[in-house]
Amino acid sequence: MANAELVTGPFVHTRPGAFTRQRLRFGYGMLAPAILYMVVLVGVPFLWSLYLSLSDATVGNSVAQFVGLRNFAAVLADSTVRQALRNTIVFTVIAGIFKAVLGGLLAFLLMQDIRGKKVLRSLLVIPWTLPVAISALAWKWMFDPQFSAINYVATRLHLMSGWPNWLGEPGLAMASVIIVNVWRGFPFAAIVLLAGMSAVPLEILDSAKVDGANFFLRFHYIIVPMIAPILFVGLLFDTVFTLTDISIVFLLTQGGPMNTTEILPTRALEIGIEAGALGRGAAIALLLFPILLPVVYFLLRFLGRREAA
Amino acid sequence: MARQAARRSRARSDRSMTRRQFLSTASAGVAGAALLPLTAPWTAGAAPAQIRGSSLRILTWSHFVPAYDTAFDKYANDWGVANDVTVRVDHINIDDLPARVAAELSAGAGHDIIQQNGVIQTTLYYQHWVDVSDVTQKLGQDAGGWLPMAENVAAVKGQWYAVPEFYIPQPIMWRAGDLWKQYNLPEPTTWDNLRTAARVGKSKGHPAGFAISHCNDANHNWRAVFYAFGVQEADPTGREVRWDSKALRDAMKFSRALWSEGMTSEVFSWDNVSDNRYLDSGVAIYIHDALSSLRSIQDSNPTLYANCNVGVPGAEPIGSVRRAAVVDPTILAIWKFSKNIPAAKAFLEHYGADVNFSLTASKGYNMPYLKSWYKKPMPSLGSDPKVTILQDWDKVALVFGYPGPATAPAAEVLSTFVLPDMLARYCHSNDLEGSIKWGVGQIKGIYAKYKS
Repeated sequence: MANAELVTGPFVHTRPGAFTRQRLRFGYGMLAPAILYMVVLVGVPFLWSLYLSLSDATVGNSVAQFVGLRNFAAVLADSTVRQALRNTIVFTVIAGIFKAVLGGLLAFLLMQDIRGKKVLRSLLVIPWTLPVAISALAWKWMFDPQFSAINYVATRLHLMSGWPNWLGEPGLAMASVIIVNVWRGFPFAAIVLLAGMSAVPLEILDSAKVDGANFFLRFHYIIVPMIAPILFVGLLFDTVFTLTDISIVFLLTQGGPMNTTEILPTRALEIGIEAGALGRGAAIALLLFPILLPVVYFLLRFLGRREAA
Repeated sequence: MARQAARRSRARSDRSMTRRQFLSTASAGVAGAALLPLTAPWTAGAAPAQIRGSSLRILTWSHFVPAYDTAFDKYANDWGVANDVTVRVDHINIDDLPARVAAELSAGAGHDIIQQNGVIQTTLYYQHWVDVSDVTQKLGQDAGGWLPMAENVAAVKGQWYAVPEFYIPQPIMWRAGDLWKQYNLPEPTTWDNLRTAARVGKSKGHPAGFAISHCNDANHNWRAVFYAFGVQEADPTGREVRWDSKALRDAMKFSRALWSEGMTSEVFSWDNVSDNRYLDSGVAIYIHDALSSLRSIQDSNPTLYANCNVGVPGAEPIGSVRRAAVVDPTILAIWKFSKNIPAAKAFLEHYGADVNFSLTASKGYNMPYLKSWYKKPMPSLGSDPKVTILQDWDKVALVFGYPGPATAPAAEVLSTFVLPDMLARYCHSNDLEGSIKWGVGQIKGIYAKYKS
């Protein structure tokens, strides 16, 4: 009764009791590590790169001058950076679609009651768990222009004519880095989807079956809506991971041939670290921010609305 | 008691020495002391007393001749033992050096001595490196001076901020013993003859191979061709861009013809070791690479090794203008934040002078910048007929940025692979002016950023 009066009545200043203060302290104490982590490992580097991008800092010059948006103007005037921006979007979108499709198929496969399911699950996540340097080097050998195992097997099986130069031809090079990214990433997508699908009550699916709903109807009207929060969080993670993935391109093509696989992270590394122009390198890296921000905003907003509903 | 006294007496008589023994021991000691600086070179030139008890950390690359890493580690350690300095050497991948050096400066901590290899950034870092002009001056005086390119990579405004360590030559490695004879090819003294050889070789299943990709080999291989056709990157001060020229057009046309007639599209995806593998496969009629590719077949494929010649008459082939060998330079610098600057300087002075060690332990891979070491026969190179031509490399060796110094914008042109990309665009599109417009636009843009 007292609570109801407090809520509906005028705002009353009350001194929080010892119990409330203790609870607040406990709550903030529990939150503190996460906040500290965000501030130190996300906030500070972000603000630092923002500062660098607005300065003429180089690796050898610690006394940087404020240059306003000159670095952004310079990098946007650079045709290679614009090409890298296009490549980044193409790389992320195409790889994302393939990971979603293959991850979904794999998740359904792993849902089935088959023998050796646990072993199969363990084997299928190996690409995701392997260190990227090792798997990328293995792929590099498979794409080697002279000793490609893919070409050797495919030509022997008459699946392919000629001897494609996977990493040397512009279209094929982009396809190759996408293939490796998808190969590495789709087990993660499968695990995320599997976790979501395992939470869908079987009774609902069974009753839909009884009502005559086929697989696609069940998938569209029951499974997807129920696992949407997990789907969106998975999509968000994957988008961020793919947009910022430097290792596969760096190890396979270094952005070549003719910058056709150059993506923003590799360009930022070349300019900011290898060439030493920290200001311009930071500006290139921050070009990802306006791409990521709306994606994250709309996904989180959508999730928030769903939860509220 | 009596037994103890007898034992003491016996021990005393064991330790006693005759006059002859004393004289011979003393003579040996005096002679040994006199000869020590000669037999143990790390003690030559007394190290300053203040370095004793200090430590020294060195960051360098993982050498393409792995045995050199082992030898260098021992060499540095021996020097440390002799001078009471604790030395630690860390080797990392060549591609990781720029990021590591940048990180150390940001942190204001790390190694005392750092190496730069290939992409030299002295003009960017010099304010944070110790002035080692005294060391380089002494090394130069003792060895007849430095090759001109040494100053281009190690000095800024007349002061030396790094000790030029060695440079890596990239000679033509050609199948003189078998394919050249079989196809009756002209001696590869000119780039035109090499174009003919590549054309014939490709028609017989033995194309040549130079990387046209995002790797350092592509940078220096094609610079060697371009410089031979008269291309200049900048003016002698390094400030004004000079790429856009008739020489560039001639070089581009020749290079595209060399690729289309004598190479395959494989070269667009090569990395720094692809040409090593290509030579090892027995397919290549010639490549243009560091000695490591030859050393890698020395034991594994002795027949191929025997048929391979290193370098051509005159060292490098002549183009329409000159002979030019573009080499990978390496330098060693000391951070100003180092707490062991005297020890670092003492080590660099000692190691910098010991060209004999560097040449021998690297099997002729590490070429000196010091002039007097080109007196024939050079260590390691003079005794190996396969590589004697490298003794003339000082006459043709150039570094990126030519004829200017290796400035920051020149290093950015190098590290962003503008030259290989410009050539690759021309090879794919056959649009000479479009490719040059793109490439020169990139280069001018880079130089403009450093002027503003």
